[in-house]
Amino acid sequence: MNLRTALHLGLITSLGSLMVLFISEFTEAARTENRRDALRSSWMELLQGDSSETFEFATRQLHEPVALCDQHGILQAAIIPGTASGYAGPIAFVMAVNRSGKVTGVRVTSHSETPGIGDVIEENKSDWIQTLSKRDAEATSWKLVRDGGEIDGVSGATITLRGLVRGLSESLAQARPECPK
Amino acid sequence: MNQAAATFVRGMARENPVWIQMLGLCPALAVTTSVTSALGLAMATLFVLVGSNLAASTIPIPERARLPALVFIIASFTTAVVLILEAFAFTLYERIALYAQIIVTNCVILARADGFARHSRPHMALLDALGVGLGFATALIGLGAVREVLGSGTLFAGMEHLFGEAAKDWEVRVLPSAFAFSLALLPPGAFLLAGLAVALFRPVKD
Repeated sequence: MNLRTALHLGLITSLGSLMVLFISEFTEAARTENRRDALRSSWMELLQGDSSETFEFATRQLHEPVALCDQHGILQAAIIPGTASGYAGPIAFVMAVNRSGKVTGVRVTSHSETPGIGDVIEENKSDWIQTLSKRDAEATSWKLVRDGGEIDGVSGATITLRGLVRGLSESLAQARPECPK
Repeated sequence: MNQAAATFVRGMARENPVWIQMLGLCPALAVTTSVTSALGLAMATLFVLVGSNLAASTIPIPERARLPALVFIIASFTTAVVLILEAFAFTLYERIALYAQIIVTNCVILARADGFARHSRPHMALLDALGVGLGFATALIGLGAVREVLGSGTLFAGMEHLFGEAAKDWEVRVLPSAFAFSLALLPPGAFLLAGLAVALFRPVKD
């Protein structure tokens, strides 16, 4: 009786696994393409057309900086991902720095901040994130105005924004993307 | 009304899975911040519900190990729908992937597979899945519409993530954005509105 139940379960799990395997194989190409396209378009958007070069985009781990190099192996721009600690948990972000050392764009990719308050960091909820663009990556002004820096805060969201800005400036200081020799 | 029609209709009103049976409240409250995400999750749930009900009514399920067997079947269909979303509706996938993956724990689906489909003929199981799935969908879309209008002042925003670029014009502004009542988008607002909906459905149940 136990053996029969076991065989029976084995049959059901094999059928289910076969179905998932088949669908996974069948959709593999489309899924990889989608992920690569999404990554590429988010990077191009972050660079805001700042560079006319076409870059060779490789799918990379999303948590390490990516150097975008031209065909002579000269660094043209860098994509720097990172995480900051917000009010309700980690805030994952990705930013782009151009060859003159200016941050061209920042996007928050995931967060768990309070809807309606801390979500001003989302690009489609508020324009706040745009105030970070065109800033010098090396500058020491990466602080909120109330902490003695130059970045405007939003009332109610100070802890969220302070955490995000600190995370951004730490990632900028640490990232050293280099072109392969 | 014949038995087949009754099986189909009861899931939508008198046995509505969300407002009457109080099943699947977690996704019903989590994703209903807009009509678009409510509709996206409802469609994914309907797909899993139809698949698992059909499987449970055609494949003999061992009586003594029926829960692991049914959960495995539901998990297979959930994984399948997540993979299909990632391949063919990527923008929607990015928005609802987290909730789509936990369809596997939606008790509506297990309840239908175990309580009805397992000892029913496939065509009845299919009608049951469609009825209950549409009942779940109407509950989610209804709550999503109320929350979106109160919280953002719009209706059908972001439909292009589901139906492509042509759906961009579907967005309707119902209230000026100055009237946005963000409590409706927060979890407490979801509970308050869900409580009202349950109260409204009481006469249907009795």
